[in-house]
Amino acid sequence: MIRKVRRFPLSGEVAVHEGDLVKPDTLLGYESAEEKLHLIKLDVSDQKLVSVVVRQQGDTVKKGETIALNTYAMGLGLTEYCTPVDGTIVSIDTMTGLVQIREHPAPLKALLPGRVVSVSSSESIVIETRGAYVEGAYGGGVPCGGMLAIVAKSPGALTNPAEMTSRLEGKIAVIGAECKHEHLMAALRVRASGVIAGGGDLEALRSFQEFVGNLTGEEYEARFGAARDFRNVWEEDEYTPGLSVILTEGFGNIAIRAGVFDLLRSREGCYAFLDIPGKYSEYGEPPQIIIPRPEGAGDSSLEPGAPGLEQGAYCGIESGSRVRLVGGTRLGKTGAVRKAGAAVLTLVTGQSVPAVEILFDDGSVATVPRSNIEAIRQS
Amino acid sequence: MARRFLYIECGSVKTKALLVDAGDRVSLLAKGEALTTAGYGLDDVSYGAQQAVRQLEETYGRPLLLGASPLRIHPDSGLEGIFVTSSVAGATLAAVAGVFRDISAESAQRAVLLGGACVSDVFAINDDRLPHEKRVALRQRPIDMLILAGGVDDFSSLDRAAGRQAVTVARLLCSGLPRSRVVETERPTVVYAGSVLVRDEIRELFSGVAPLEITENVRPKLENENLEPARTAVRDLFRSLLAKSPRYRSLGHAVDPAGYATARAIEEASRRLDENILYVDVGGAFTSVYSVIGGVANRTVTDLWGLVSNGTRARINSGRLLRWLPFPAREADVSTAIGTRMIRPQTVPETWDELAVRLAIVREEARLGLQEHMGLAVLLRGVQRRRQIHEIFGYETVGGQTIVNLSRCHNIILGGGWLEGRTPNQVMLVATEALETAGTNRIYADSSGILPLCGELLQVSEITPGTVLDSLELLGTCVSPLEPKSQGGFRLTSSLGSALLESRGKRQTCRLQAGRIQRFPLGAGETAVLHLVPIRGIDFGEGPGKRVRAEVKGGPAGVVLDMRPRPLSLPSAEARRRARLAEWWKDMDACPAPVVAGWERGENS
Repeated sequence: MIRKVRRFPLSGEVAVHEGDLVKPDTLLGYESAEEKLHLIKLDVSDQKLVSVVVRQQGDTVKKGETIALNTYAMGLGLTEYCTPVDGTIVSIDTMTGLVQIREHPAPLKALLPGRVVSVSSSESIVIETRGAYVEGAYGGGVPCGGMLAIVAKSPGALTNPAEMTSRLEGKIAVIGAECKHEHLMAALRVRASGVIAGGGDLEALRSFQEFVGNLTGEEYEARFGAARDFRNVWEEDEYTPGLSVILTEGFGNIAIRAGVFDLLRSREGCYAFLDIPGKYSEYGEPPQIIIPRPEGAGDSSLEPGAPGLEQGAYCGIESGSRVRLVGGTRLGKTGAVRKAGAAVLTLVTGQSVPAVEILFDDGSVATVPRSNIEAIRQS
Repeated sequence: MARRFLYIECGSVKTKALLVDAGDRVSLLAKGEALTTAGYGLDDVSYGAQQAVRQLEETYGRPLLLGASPLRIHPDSGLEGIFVTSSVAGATLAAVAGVFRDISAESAQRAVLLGGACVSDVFAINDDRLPHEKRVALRQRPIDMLILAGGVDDFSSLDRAAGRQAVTVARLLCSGLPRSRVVETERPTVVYAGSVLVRDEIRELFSGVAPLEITENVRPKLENENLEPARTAVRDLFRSLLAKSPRYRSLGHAVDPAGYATARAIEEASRRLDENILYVDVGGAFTSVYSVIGGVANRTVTDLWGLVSNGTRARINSGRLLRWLPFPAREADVSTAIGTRMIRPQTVPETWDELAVRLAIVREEARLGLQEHMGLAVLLRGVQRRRQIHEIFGYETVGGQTIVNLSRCHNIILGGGWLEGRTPNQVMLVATEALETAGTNRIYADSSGILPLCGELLQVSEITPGTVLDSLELLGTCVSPLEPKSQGGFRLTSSLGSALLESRGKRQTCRLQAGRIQRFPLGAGETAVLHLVPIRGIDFGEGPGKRVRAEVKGGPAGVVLDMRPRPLSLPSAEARRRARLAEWWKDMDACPAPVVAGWERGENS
């Protein structure tokens, strides 16, 4: 059984109750908009507005939209005042030049099918579901959901960004060993919901997240030539530029481990939820890929990836344990422990460390530092 | 007579169990270690603590504890007591709010950090955020306490306004308080450490909303700070929160903040020795820097990996790191190494190249940590002063200048898991480059992490002068020139003067070669007298061109004469830069000669 908490950033109006069954697109509530008031200061002179206001009180505006203009130097210079958020113009004070814009309340969707087990008044909702889950190593973006689409031909393959076509719109693309800047831009262009890869480039991920954070709908349209008209009245299902990423193994070029890739491939076309804790998460909370059990599926015994005490870094390492290398020269390789125990390895750097002997999946054998391996949960 | 104690430190990555004898100095008898079991689905530190103690018992050969948690001393162990501290990332998170960011908020921030907590965000009227943005920021980040400050206790009319503004800030944040991380049905405790004039209004505001504790004003007057009451309140809250936390509850023992205990140890040592001390701890999740300069203690926690703090923060840049590598490397590989370090800090480097990258990351972490520390360890801001006659045509603002001056910090301590397996020479190399040492600095290493224990031991025994530093390993003494006041102070093709070391009747001399590192061997426990005769313009702490006579202590690294320019600079041409770095590694004897030779040829190893 998997439990996930869905939170409002500040507070909100909860639209569900304990015991309710929810689907991924079920609205859990709306974020409270009472306090989300933004101010823009226009130019005034002698308590008179100098700028030309092109929108009126009560109008609905989009992020980046121009609401006022001011020309100077006999028309040679132009200042544009743009809205910082999607919202409604509450008031325009012609004496002080202050424009108040109330941000539209953002909806909070479940993104996960299941049952509501608890509601913390106006703050968070806990949803319980059954299915498989995979722990990732790194996650960027916000929680999202979508159908799984396997793009990579094998766990270690490098996907050609040109193969990421519009069939991935709204889906979570599994792209193989490494996620680079080109893959992220390709996924953004085709409006994929998320990307799963074995490894990636940290700098590329960081700069991409910053880029997407500042991207407005208009800018997105200008860059990628989307067909939709962004000047329409705000619609609930309108596309907001964004992309979530989970790296399952770490950074660099690392193949998705075989068990995980097989699980994802077997569930291609099924709904998946990427739970990305984000920068405000509890320390130690990893990103997770949750694949809820399809409706109508019967009960089964322990499913792949179910959380338990014996997992990851804390799992006891003994002979036969499946492990993967998380550091050192063999980063990303997987194998089984041949000899655990109190062996000590002296590295070329002169440091002596506890070590284990591993029989890798490619048939080679090596003694590696104990700190550089992590147990893989048995599926 | 030595008294035996068991010390358990729950760190962000590893939980250590140390068996020590505390007498004239703290001696480490045995050590056990395990990964900290906090997070990743297993949220109970007692598992990791048990594993660490079990390992310790295997080494020691005797049982120390009775069974599993809670912690109880075995009757045959010979232990007098158990101390437990925690520095797990975000163990206690506090948000700080004040009227002005650089005055009351900054003082409150100092009190929280010295109390052992981490600061997730700082709110003030002048922090450039709209009211709702402040509330969202407060609500989104789970915190354990909110420290509120603002206003002075002076009853003059001009100063009352700030007290009223403290109420404004409190009213703004009151509705944004999140749920407590420990007890979901409650709000985090609010500690009010502001003006006495508005205490009643604050009580009324938080009545029925959140538990409120009132303590003395951290800034009773603009001219001085009073951090001790707020600091103690934070420490006490830390203890009570951890006692309730499911993560620590099964330990069944009081857990103190490691930051508070460490700060206490360093303050006591500085007070007894009457010397300044700087401590830089590059940990698994954070870089903590402590300093006691002129009796004023400060602590900062730099969150380089974005684990707990809000807003913009310093980041480790792969481009900058590449400049410190003495061998050809791809930026993508360095970026991967940074990422791996971020998500798996427990991994060890297996080759010399990996070690060089890891040390470059540590260097950056220490440098950025010290930079942030120097931004908080400053002269008090907002202090009124009268304009002097010489300031008729210009006014020099006082306040905000850093009080941390490396040339006046004769004792520098390094700590953190990265020290494990590192040679003294490697540690010295990192220290001198990261901190840009100046003047005469004794470099200590706290590889076992016993500094927090020294702070805890203050509660049960008197620490004699110098005991804290005596319990650490002195790596050696480093002598470096100060940053020149004018350009042209360093001419890299010339000598900067001469040095003479007198020890036990023997004399060693050398010419101080600009841009290079030289060493005089001087063993652990030995002392010597060092005479420096600089050329004109070069300052070793007594003034430009002035001779220096200093008593120096030895260690495994000896006496290091670091004549590299300050601030440290590298040639822009890649080949010359790598050659210069390889030269420094060779000068410090930080790796075998064949490795350096390989790097000089442009090979990887």
